[in-house]
Amino acid sequence: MNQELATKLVRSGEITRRDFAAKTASSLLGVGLLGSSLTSRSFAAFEGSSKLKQAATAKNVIYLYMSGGQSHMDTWDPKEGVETAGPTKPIKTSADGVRISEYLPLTAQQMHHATVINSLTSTQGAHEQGNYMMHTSYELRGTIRHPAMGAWLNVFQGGGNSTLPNFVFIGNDSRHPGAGFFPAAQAPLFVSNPENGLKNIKNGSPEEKFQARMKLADELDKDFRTTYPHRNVKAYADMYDDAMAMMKSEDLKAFDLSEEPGELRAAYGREAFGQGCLLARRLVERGVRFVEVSLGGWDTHNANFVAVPERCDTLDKGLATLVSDLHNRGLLEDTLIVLTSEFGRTPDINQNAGRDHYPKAFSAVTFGGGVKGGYTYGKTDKEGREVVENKVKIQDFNASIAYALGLPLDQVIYSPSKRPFTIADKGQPITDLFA
Amino acid sequence: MKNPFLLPLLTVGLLSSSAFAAGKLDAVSAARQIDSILAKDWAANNLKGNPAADDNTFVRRIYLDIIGRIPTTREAEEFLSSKDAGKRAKLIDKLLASEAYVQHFFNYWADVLRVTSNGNQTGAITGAAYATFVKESLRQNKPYDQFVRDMVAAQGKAWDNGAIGYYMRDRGMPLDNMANTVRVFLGTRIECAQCHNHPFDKWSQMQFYKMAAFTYGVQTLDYTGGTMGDVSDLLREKENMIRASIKEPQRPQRPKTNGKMSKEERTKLEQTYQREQKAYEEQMKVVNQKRNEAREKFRREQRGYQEAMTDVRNTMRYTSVSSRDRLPTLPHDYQYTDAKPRSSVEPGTMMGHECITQPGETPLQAYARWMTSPENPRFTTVIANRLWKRVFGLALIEPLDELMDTTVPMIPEMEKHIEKLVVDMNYDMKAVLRVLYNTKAYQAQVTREEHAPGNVYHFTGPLLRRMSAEQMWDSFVTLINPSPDMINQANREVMEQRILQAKKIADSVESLSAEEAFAGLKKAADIYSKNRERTDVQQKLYAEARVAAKEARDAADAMPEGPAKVAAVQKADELRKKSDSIRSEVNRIQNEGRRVTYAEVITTGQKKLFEKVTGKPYQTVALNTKGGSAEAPAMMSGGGDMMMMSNGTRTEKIIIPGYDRKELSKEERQAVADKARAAYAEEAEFFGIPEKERKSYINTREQISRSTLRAAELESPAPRGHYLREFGQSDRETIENANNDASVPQALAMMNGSLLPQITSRYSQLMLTVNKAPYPDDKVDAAYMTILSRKPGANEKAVWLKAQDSGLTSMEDLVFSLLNTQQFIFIQ
Repeated sequence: MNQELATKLVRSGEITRRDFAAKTASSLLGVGLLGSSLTSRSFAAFEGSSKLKQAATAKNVIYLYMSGGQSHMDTWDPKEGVETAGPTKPIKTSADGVRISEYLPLTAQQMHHATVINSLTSTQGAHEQGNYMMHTSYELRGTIRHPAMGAWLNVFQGGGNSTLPNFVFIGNDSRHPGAGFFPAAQAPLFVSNPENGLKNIKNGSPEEKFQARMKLADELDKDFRTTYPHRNVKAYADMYDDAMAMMKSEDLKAFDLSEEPGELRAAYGREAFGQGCLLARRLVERGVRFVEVSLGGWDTHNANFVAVPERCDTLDKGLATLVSDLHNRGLLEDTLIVLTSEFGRTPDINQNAGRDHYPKAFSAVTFGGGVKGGYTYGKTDKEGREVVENKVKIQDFNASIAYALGLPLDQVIYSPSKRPFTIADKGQPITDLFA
Repeated sequence: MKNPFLLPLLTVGLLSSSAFAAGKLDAVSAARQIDSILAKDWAANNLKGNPAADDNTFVRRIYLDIIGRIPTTREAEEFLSSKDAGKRAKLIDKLLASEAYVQHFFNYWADVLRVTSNGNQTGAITGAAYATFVKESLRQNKPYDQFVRDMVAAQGKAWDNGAIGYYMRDRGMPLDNMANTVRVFLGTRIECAQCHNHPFDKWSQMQFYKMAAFTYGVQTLDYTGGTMGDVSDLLREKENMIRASIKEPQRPQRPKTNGKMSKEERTKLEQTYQREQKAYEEQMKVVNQKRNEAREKFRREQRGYQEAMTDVRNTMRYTSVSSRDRLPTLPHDYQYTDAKPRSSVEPGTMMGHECITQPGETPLQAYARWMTSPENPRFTTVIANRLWKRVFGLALIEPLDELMDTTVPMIPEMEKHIEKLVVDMNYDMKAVLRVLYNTKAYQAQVTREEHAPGNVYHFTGPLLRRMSAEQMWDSFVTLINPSPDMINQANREVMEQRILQAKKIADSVESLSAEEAFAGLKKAADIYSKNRERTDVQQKLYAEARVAAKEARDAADAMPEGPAKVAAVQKADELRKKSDSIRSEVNRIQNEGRRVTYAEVITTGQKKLFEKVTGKPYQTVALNTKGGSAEAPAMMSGGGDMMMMSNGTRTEKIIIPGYDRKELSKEERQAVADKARAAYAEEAEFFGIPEKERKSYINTREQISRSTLRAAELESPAPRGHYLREFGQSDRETIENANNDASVPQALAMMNGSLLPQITSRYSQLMLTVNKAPYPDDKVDAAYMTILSRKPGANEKAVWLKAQDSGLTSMEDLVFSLLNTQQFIFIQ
């Protein structure tokens, strides 16, 4: 049933995919035909792409995006005894030698599953640009949109075992590159409120009446469909079948959070983020392969030490419960949790007791999905200003996620405008993150 | 034909004499010329034109094509019942003259130009102004070449010239902007050549940079001049004065020697000099150190000013485009032999004639003139194909924005003809569309066979097309709203106010002298300078209070039920309240600087502006007690409530004629309401609403006209999750990014969304029409007329009758089914 439904569901995107493939093929053909007249360097752009391949260490990714620029100084890379630390104190965690901020006490108990990266560095210091690069590995440009990782995953590996879309975004952040230049069918399904489930998924009428109405529509349209046997007309008929199948899908239960015990729901935190993490777990259980959950409010230019602890409260409940819940269910091995942000925040505390944008050095954390546990990669100096060990570029970071999923980092894909791109723009995966 | 009065006009406007110059009178004969070229092409290819479309098909199609929605039943029937032989041409004229044509064409251009009216790269103010500019250009039927020149040569402030949105859209990305310009207006793809010679076309990286050099000097960064620039100068002056106040020691003079001096004397002089020089250097070191310290101290003190100045500048962010001399430089890895890496590149055109700046025009204007010249052939090719495609669903050259030297149009003679038509008509888009809509080829049935991409199409009729997202949405609006084109003025004013309030703030600040602004900024700076200290204190208190509250709560939760627990919970709640109140105090402190900046700089400026505009002294008439900063952009209004700041400042709202919407008098308000009501009353009359129901009808109608706005009246793009987006509206991120593919969310929206209940509510256009019909059969006819602009066939009636056996008895059932047919969303 599932498999059949999954096939049906992707069918609605088939036409565009076929066109896309044709276009890609023709552009590849173009390269072949023109090959001899090209200078060698024109197409040398990808010689730096990583050829590293491995068996995937993770099937799924839950990507927690801290929108607005999370202060690395007050979360994953706290300092001690320096002015830049502010009032934030580091605490011990369940992993020897790994210390995180006092604002994340629950997560501290899960750090034996985690690899912290304290040496991320970006070139983008504005939200829009930073967010875009973190999601796509490329600079924001006016002439093209690059795909997010979930869309690359869709294109290279297709769906999981679910009638549900393979790529889901939970949250209210309006910034997301989505499918980029891939067909719209590869875009994430946007769920703005995890407790409301999917939009328009229920019909108000009794089932029998609904079916009779749909049958009537079908009959009234027969002449039209016979007169115009066009692909897009046919696609609509299929799309209705798919949509109706989806309305009946068992997998929709994923959205019914009320099935979960009250205690567990409370442990995740009643905020949209916590419930989003819970929904992410339920989706992953049903074969959805890439779920992003966003948490905003990290743009702490003002009163950083009031705002960050509050945000951390929400984050801590959601994240710590997600890690332990996945672990308890044996899902953490196959599920890579990634937490990151567009940039960090200035070590210097500004005159509004806030911290400003700081792309030069910041942090990310990964849990499960084949990464080492209780490990820290990279280092900043004692004031948190500079990366002093194992610098990680955004492209390298994304290449590592792709590497965990077993995606081909060196495979060139042509956009419909015939421009060549790779999954992490020549980033080199950090194999040291993996166990 | 030659009218002597027209001649002088012709010599001004037209180079080639033309039968089209007299305007629409000739549209029909111009259409016949096109039909005869097509007939020739069909004969040569053994084809026949499609049969003529009947009036029902035509009326639905022409409404959708020109004004972007299905006709109301009233409109359709008016056309169908007319016996006028020229009724089609007349309807085309009527629709082209309507505001709805502007809205529908705007949706198209918003997709091509990536118009984001509310934010994104353009910012909310310039975004709104840009959308307004595009609409206004279409409303005036501005010639296309002028429309493009306005954008490509745009300079100034958003409120004076919305066309600056063209550059602001690609803020900080001048190279991408050039690639977009060349694609949209010259139909040529050069983005590849930004990094290396184009692999599939002839363009070199050098050509790309030469083109980019024309607009590389266009500045989209923050506004820096005017009063705030003067304040910066003042601060710099002060800094220099402080520096100068620390005096330098006298520099020792090198000793003068002459031949008469003995060697000893000379050595001695030299030694003295060396000693003095050393002492001088020591003293200078101290001076420099003191100067640095003084500068650092000054700058620390100035931080508060910087914060306040940022508050002011933030209100004017992304609202100004200017230009300066600046040339692009080749990248560091430039690999060709015609120039060195990192060398700067002078402007040069990539095709057509050279661009030479004439006396009296700026280089940017010269470049705009070059781009839009009829002698720049691709400029005309692109717009001719855009218009043709609008009408027939496919361009003569596909894709129309990937032209190459080897490109062959599907019907070369037609391509030439349409390009000439466009030039002869002075790029009058509406006139060209009028000709095309009047062709027999357009008015034929759509082609039954699907057109396969890459094949030649001979335009035996238009193609079958799915409605665009906006056509779908606007058609739903039509089913709900009996007068779907009625403008909701209040809604339009919101966008106008967004632009006008920004202008008000900018002009207010500019009314201040640097000294006046400085005095206001000082008050805000004083607040800012204490921010850190005050916040730190509260932050510490907050951290403690938060922990205390949490511990108390945990302890209370752990207690067994009973009076002790109740007391503990109460205690915990109190502690929680205490921590919340500290939190509010932090917010208050953090917002105070901004509030004071607003009150002391912008409000002060507004008072001066008021005096300048009215010529009368400003008096504080009454303090506005309801949200003094309501008019401030969101970033300025910290909370909204009028409040007294710690330094005693109050906020107040200053109404300035020309900057604020004139408050209507009671009579004027009444007149506006009466006018709308008269329109609703006329509808009620038409639909036969009984007298006693009129009041409820009018109330419902008022609500409908507020809540069902046509696509072009909403923000561009609509927010994610809006029906428009589910139907495939472009996100405006890349050029022509709208999507007409089937999708599951779209089907779900059609079946299960909230639109159906609105469409089947009592006073929707659809239900009014259905309810007006007396008998069941007429009601079915009415539903078909309203949804599909035709009556049902015998087959369809039979199907509906049969369906009634299976329990579908209400009109709502039929309506649901018809809306979920594909013939509803395809344009035949």
